[in-house]
Amino acid sequence: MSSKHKKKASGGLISLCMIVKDEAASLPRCLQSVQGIVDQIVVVDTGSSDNSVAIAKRYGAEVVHARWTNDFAAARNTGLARAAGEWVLFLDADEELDAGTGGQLRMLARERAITGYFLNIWNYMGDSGSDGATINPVLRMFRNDRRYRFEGRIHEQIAGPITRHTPDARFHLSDVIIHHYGYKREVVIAKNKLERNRELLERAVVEEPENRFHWYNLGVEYFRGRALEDALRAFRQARDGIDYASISYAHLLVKHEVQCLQALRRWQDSLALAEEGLAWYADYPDLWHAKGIGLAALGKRRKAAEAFAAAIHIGKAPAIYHTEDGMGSYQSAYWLGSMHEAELDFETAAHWYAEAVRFRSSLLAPLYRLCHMMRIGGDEERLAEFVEQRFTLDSPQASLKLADVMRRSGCYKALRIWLTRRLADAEATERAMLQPWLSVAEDCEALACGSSDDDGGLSTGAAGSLGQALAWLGMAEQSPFPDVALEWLPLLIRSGIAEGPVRDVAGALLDLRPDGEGPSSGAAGVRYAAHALCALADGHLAEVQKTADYTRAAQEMRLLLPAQGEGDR
Amino acid sequence: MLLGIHVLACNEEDVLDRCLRSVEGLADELVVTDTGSTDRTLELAKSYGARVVQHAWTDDFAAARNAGLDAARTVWVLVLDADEHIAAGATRLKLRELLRQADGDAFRVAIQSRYGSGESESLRHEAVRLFRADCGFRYTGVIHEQLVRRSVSGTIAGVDGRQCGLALLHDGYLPEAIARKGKAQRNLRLIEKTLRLTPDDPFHLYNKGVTLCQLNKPKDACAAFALAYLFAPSEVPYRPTLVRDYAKALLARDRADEAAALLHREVDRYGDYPDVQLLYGDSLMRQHRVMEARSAYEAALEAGAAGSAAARYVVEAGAGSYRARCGLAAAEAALGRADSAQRLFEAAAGEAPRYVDALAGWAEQLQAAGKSDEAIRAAMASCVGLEAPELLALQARVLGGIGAYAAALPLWREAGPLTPEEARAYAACLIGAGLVREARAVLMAAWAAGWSAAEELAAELSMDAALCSWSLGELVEVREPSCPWSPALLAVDRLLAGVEGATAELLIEPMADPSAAVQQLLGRALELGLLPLAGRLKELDASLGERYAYALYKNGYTHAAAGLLLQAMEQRQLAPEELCCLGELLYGKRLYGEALALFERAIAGAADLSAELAVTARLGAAACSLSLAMEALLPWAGAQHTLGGGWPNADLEHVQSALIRVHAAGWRTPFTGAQRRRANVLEAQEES
Repeated sequence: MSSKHKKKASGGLISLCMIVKDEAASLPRCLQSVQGIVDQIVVVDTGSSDNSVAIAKRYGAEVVHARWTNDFAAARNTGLARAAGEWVLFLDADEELDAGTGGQLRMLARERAITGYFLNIWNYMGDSGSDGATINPVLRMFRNDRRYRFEGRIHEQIAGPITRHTPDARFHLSDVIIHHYGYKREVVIAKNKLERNRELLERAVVEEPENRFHWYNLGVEYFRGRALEDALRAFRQARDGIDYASISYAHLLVKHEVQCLQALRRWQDSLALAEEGLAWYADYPDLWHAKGIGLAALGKRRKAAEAFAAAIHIGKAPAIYHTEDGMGSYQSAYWLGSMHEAELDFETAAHWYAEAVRFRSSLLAPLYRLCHMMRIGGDEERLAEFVEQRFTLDSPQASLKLADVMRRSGCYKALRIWLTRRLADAEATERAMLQPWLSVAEDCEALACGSSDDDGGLSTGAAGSLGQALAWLGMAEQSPFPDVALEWLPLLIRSGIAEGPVRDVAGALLDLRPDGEGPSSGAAGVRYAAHALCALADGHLAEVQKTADYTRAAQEMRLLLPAQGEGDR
Repeated sequence: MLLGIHVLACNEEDVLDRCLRSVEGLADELVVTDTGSTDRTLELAKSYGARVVQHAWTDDFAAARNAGLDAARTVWVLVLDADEHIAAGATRLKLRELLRQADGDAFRVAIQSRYGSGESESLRHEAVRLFRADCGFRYTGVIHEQLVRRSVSGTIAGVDGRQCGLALLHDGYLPEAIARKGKAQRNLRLIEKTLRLTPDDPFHLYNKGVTLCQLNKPKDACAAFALAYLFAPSEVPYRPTLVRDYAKALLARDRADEAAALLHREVDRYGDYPDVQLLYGDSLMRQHRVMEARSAYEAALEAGAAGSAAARYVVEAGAGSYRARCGLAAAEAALGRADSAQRLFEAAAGEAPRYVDALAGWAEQLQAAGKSDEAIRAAMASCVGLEAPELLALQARVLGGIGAYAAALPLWREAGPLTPEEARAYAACLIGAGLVREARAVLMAAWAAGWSAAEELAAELSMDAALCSWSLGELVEVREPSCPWSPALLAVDRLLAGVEGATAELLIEPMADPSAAVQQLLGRALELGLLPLAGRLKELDASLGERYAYALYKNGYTHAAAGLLLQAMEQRQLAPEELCCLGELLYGKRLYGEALALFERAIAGAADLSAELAVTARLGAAACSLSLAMEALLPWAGAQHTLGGGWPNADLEHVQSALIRVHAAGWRTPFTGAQRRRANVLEAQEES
């Protein structure tokens, strides 16, 4: 203890920060495990009624009392404010620092270049270590810096704030182990809660079979547990003889039953019920949206489009309804766009994809569809123009995001045109960020139409993974294909440059099996090789598209192919 | 008097009798308005006790009809054309009762118009033809006159009424009727006269289109329809029929794109009109958009099931039932859903046993599903029935089409007198069953019966007969010296006889392309399955050897063709179409990588690739690429991986659905049931 006092004068090396509430049972195990490793213990108590506080004090902790405000990050930050050591370690009460490896923390804390350490958390199924565990690396020790504070009310996290304030932060994966014993209990509790609810409701409907609210709630529980037939029966029971006008939750009941029927792929029934509901709740966007989904599944795209349009026309649901995110806004707009896309009405589809993005600017799916579709429509000039007109890009990051989507979608020409215009009146920061993308776009465009270095089509010194891909092309047969350049395989195949070697690479990747020997990047390799084959097929279909009687058929085939970059989201 | 029947007539001796006979005992007076007949029309009319109103023809149909109406002495009038007659039925008897108690002023009747010899070639619509004689109903329009009603105050309105249950049969649209009467020319003249006064009148433009279709001038018809479509307001009653006829004319001109675009705009508006939905399906099929066509055919069936179309539109027989069902079945077959296709064809055959498309489709599907010939014959017989001779011939023809020769022969023998076309199909069956000598007898008899008849048909019969003789090792000139064999057949006869120094060039002079004649015979020999004879014919001209493997392939001898192509590959560059055949074969054996290489060679090899072949090769290459992608992804399906986006299941789903569409576009050779049976025939086997 004397050394501890000495270190404390200088602030010490490591401060342990915890938040606790009624953890008397597990707290001693946790605090015992850090003895001799940390120099300071800060415990934030959020209102324990057991003797947690006394236990903490017995282990020399400084105890801070804080009112619980439903905010994990706030509680943790209260503790951080008291931390005096150079490093902060944080643990939960049901965790324990491993006796064998825990000692390494003091050595690690002396590394100058490191900002934070990942520790390995072993989640045990039972309360002892005997039942096996799942292991995850987690960031649990970081430099004590007043700028590093937790964020997030429920799933609080620290990595984000650290990298934001220290962009060149270095993290290291340590061998130190944390034992976490409460894991199974937590999972089970969540599951039990569902089961308990279900059991309670099952009992309730026996006692009060006339109470439709019980049936409704039971249906919801079954639906959550994917017991669809049971859910449907319960919803039917709840709806039997219902007066739509007077029951406040009846609209939700109808919506859930429609969704249940759709999960059972009973599309016609779902439509009939949606119609019935809409007779009463004509201003409920969720129900219009659900109707659209049913119609779309039946191939009635134009009628589906009308339903989605009706949802959008309503927009936000009136306050009396319980609504889901995106109904009548971005989800309905995205669906509406896909209906028009499938009808090959690309201009209208583009409008609705743009609307989806306008409703929610963080969405990537509509952007990918937009680019995929416009490339197949064969009008990349129009795409560049459309993007310029319809998207307000209020930050360089937003521009980068769009550029990346266009690049991944293979819209190189559109990307070049749009970037050229955008660069003309971009500010310095944005110009610096976008400039490299222009040469990427130009290189890719040249590759896509099959011109190689020899034709002088490619700019030299392309950066990043594209650069590696091009470098490999230059000396194809002598070196293995670089893993980082896998994403360029579809473009390389399509270019037809160094056809033999490129196809050999793809061929080898296609033979990979999930259980076989091979590079760790096996799955990614197969995926990009398969996409390369799709690119090959797409190229042939693009030619077929030029024959009048096949134009639309070929477009429909190409629209179905996996959009490049799709799934990387 | 209760009811008068009014007929407008000019030289109608061929049909008036049937018309007037059908209304005997129904009416209290018959009024025939004659506009100057020079045949027996007046005599016929009088023999039925008709009152004849003479009205000088002024190029104005409405005026002529109204002259008759002005002479009515009855409370009600029923207006008929001379080429119409009333179908027998219960309603006919109740008509007078209905009129006595009627509180309305007008009734619609159903009119069924035949436009071809087949039972399913008919149109149905309803129109007001029965109305009170004294309530201001009069016709207007010099041609395609419309019934209107003039009120006391002088305003004019269209008319409508309830269906009275009366059915008229009309055969004025039969091609022979149109040709005989020169009605179409007369109508065209009248329409053009009217259009000189009102060039933008959409109704007259529409009728001009209809008339041009009857005159078999689809191009001019399309132009007229296009204008009519442009000017016709959305609410006019003839607009749905205009859309239908316009689309039909566009399809007749192979303008599937324009037809699809037109119908795409209209299908929502006429959701209850089966013909429009059916035509949309057809035009989508022509664009190879099978999935979309499927939905359109389903919409046609829905509209048909609703059953309300006949009252509002001109509806083709079966448009909302068996025709649409056959379309849907074909779409399902293209999408690889054989079970569904089979069920649909069966249902369509049940609805219309005489509709050959349904029967043939059903038989194909049953055969492809591995049903025995006897089982297929029994299934058809229980569906169609065997009572009428023409039904026997129909079934025999369908069975022959799928190569069920032995099952077809008893039906052919029962079928009674055969047309020359049927005789040719019968002979093909006999040849297929190995009864070549009997086949020749049938062909010679049919040929002899029709020597002077249709030239083309005679040529076909004599060609088949000659092939039979050669196949039996006999020469036509020796066996049937008195028959009028064509010079080409005689030349080949001599070549086969091995006449010293004879060559095709020498003998088939002065025909432009001697090898074309031999090639045609070779092609027909393969169609008929006369493989050894085909082998001999191939030797007659050096240029035929190289195309032989391709011809074998296209006639279903895939295995034999593969052997020849693989041999040829070592000696020469294969032609693109040969590479495609080989690629297709390897694709069938799931050798996708090898097949891909062949398709790519076909594409790269020839700069002057025909558009059709280029599409085949490119679709083939796409199918290979996608199949390879599927093969690579499948082992990873279901496993947990960290790539996100539902990988690989989402990718698999995408690739698979694209692949289904590629296949549905039809790049593979569509073998018939008869051809499928030849897949494993080896040339050597056949000759032994």
